[in-house]
Amino acid sequence: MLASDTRFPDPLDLAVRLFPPLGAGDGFSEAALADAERRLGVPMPARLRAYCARTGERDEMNRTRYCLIPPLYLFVRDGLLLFSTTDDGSRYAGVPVDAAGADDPPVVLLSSEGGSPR
Amino acid sequence: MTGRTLTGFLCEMLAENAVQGGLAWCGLGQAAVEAIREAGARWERHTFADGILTLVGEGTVLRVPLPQGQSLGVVHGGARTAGGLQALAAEFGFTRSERRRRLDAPPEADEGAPDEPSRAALRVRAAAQAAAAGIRAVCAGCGASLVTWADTAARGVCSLCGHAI
Repeated sequence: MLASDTRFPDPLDLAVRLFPPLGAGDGFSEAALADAERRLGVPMPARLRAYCARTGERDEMNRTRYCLIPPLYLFVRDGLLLFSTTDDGSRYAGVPVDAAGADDPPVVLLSSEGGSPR
Repeated sequence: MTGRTLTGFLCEMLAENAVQGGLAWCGLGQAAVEAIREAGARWERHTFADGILTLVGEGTVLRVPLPQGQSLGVVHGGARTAGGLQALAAEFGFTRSERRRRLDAPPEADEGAPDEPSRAALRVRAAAQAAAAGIRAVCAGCGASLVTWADTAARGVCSLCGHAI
């Protein structure tokens, strides 16, 4: 087994290191994020919200293999706030609605046909 | 796979997107597990919940599905520059690789433009082909014709290769 660092980097730090620079217009707008939260009745996890607000519009980092779902299309299913899908739409990733307030909530993967993909 | 957190998932997403066409230069190859094991301190190593070892450098990422009992592993690499990807391939000794530039990324000087002797050979060949096709070549250097390069005669030099007419 090859050794790994145990702590993950902050996603925004990683984004800046790999895809610099991050500009003012690179994220989803505050209004769009707030609208989505109002529509769904669920607050986005703070970490995800911050990530979306800084990088959401950058296709090369958020829409090649895994696609970050734009605020307008965020949805809740099976108690999960789904925020990402694979490029072929076969898998979705979401955070449990009841854990959305946690600092670093768990992420659950769903296949598009329902159920866990792994 | 259990134990996926939001932080880990977002990092996994960034790294995977980076090597799958997000970074301007991406490549695929096979690297020796030993080389990955001995990668220098400039690399951060992470194993995200997808079980893929990820090495992160400045503007460079390498993703290696952890091989079990094998000496070679398939790697996906990404870099912001052609030179970065070349250095990545050299450091990890890719035995075979395919490299490509993102379609919207600008070409780079070290991308493999032909050197002057190669360009001269190409010009000579183009001139010979023009002559063989019965096209009256205005430029002896590259075979450009008045029809193709309308402003050539007016400028006094070939618009294609800069050769004086």
